[in-house]
Amino acid sequence: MRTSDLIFSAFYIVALLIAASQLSKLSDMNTAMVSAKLYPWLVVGGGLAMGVLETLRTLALKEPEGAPSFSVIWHRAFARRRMILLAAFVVYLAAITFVGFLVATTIFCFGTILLLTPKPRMTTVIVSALTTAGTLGLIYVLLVVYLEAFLP
Amino acid sequence: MYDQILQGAAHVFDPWTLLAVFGGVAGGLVIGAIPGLTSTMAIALLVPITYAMDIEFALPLLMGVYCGAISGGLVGAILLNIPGTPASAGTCLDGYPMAANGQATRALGLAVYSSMIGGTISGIALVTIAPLLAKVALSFGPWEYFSLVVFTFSCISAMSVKGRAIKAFMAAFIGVTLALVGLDEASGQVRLTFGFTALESGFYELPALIGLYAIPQLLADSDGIGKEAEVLKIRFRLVEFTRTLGEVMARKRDLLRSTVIGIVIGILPGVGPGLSNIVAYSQAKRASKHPEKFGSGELAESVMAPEAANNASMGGALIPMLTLGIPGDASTLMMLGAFMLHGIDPGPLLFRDNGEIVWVVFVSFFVAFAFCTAIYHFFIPLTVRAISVPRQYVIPVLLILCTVGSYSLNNRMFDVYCFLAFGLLGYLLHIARMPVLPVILGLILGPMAEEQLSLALAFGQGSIWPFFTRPISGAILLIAILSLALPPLLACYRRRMTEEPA
Repeated sequence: MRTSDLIFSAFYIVALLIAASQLSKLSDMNTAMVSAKLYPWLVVGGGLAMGVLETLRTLALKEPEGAPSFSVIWHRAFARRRMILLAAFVVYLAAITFVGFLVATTIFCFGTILLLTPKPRMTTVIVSALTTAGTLGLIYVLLVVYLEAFLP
Repeated sequence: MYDQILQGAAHVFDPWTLLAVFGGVAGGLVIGAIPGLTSTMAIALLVPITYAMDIEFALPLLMGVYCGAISGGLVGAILLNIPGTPASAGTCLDGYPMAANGQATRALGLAVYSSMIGGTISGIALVTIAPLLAKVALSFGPWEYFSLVVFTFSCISAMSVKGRAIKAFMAAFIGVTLALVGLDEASGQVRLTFGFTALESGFYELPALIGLYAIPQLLADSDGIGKEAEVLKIRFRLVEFTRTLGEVMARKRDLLRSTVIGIVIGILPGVGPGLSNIVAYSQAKRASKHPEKFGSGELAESVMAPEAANNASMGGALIPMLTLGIPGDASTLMMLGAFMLHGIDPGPLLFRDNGEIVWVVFVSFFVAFAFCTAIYHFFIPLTVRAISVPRQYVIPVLLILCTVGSYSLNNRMFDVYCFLAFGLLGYLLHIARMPVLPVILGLILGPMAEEQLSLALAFGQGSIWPFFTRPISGAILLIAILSLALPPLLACYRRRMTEEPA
C-alpha cells in the first residue's frame, strides 16, 4: 500500500510540475487588475504542497498492519476481467467511427456479455442477444424517435 | 410566491410529468437495489438524456430517480447484506441479521417507513430553509463565495476516512487544475491545452462526471461476476409490512434524531447520505437503553436510524445546491450538472428569477417520496428480483448508455473520448484509494473560485483582508479552518487522556 501511495504521489507531483511549466508561459496584461498567473499558480502551488506533504507523511508512517501489499493492489487493479472489459470498451469506442454505432454496439454488447460470463451456455447466448436487441431498441426509441437526438 | 407554488405544482401534476416521476422512482429503485450501482450513477446516466426535454419535465424525472435510487439501496442491504448504495451501509448492520432471523418483511417495513418519514421531514426542511438561505445568500459578495468553495473542500477533507485528508485535498487540486484547461476569458490566453485546439473550450463537465463515476465503478463491479451473493428468501405479506408503520411511529425520538442528523450532514457541502447513515446508527446506539443488542437485528431503531438519516440527507443536500450552487453530495452534483445543461445556474438568483423551477423541485421531491412509498408496498418482490440480476448483463448496457449520453450532449466524439479519459483517471484514483468526489467538485467549483477570487481582489484593490474582515466570509473561513484543525487536535487530546489515566 505504501509503495503504491508513493508511486501515485510521484506521478501527481510530476503531472503538476508539467502543468507548472506550461503555466509559466502565461503573460500578464498591463491593464489587468489581477494577474492572469495568480490563480493558476495558487492552484498548482497548493497542489504541489499537498503532494509533498502526502509523500512525507507516507514516508514517515509505517505500513499499517493488514494493509494489502503492492502486488495484491496491482493484481487486483489489473484483474483479468477488468482488463477484458476495459479493452473491449476502448476497442468499441474506436470502432464506432469506422463501422458505425449500431454495428459496434451490437458486437460490443453481445460479445462483452459472453466474454464476462464465467461459463457461457446456450441460454447465455440467447439472453445476451435479447439484451443487445433490447438495449438498441431502447436507445433507438428513446433517443432517436422520442428525443430526436443524434447517435454517435 | 403563491403563484410560483401553483405554477410549480401545475408542472409536476401534469399527467406526463407524474408518469415521468413514477418511472424515475421505479427505475431508481431498481438501479439503487443493484449493489454497486449508486444514485449518482443513475442520475449520471439520465442527465444527458434530459438535454432534449423541458426542464420542468426533466427535473421531476431526476428527482424521481434520486429518491428511488437512494431508497432502493435498502433492499440489497437487508436481503443480501450488501448495501445497494453507500447510503445504506449502516442498514446492513442490523437489517440483514433481522431478515436472517426470519423477519425480512419487518426489516423492510421499518426501513421503508423510516426512509419515507425521514425524507418527507427533510423535504419540509428544504422548503423552509432554502428560501431563507437564498435571501441571506443574496447579500454574498465574491469574498463569501470564494470562502464557501474553501469551506467545501475543507469539509470533504475533514469528513474523509482517517489518514486520507491530504489525499482528498490532492484530489480536489486535480479537479481544480483540470478546470484550468482551456481559454481564460479574462486574459484571452489558452492554458494547459498542450497545443490541442479541441481542448481550448475546456472540459465539458458532464462527460467528465460520468466518466469519473461510471467507469471505475463498473470495472470494479466486474469482480463480482460469477460470485453473486445469496439473496435471503422472503415471504412478503402486505399486512405484516404495513403493521411496521406503528412500530416506526412509536419511536418518534429515534426517528427525529436520525432525521436531524441526516439533514445537517446533508447540508454540509460534499458529504451526504453515505456518511449520515453511519453517524445516525452510532448515535442511535449511544442513545439506546440496549446498546449491546445493536448488530443482532432485534431492535427496530437500529434499522430505522440509518434509513431515516440517509433519506433526510437528500433534502439537506439540495439546500446548498439550490441556494448557493454548491452540491451537498455526489448525486446533487449531478443534478447541478442537469441545471447547467439547461442553462440555469443554481444560486440565490434562482429563487428570484426562476422561482417556479425551484417549486418544481420542491413539489416533485414530495411526489417522488409518495410514489416511492406506494411502489414499495406493491413491488417489493420485483425489487428483490432486481438485486439478483447477473452483473455481466448490466455492465455493458450501462457503458453503452454512458457513451450515448456523453455523445448526445454536443454530438461530438471528443466528449466520448473525454468520458473515457476521465474514466481512466478515475480508475487510477480508485487504485490509489483517492476519493473521486473532490475531483469533480474541483472541476465544477474551480471556475467559480477563480472568478470570485479575481472579482474579490479587483474590488478590494488587490487586498486579501476583506476575506477575513467581512463577517460572513471570515466566519466561513474560521469554520473551514476549525473543521480541519479540530479533528487531529481532539484525537491527540483523546490519545493523551487514554495514555495518562486519572
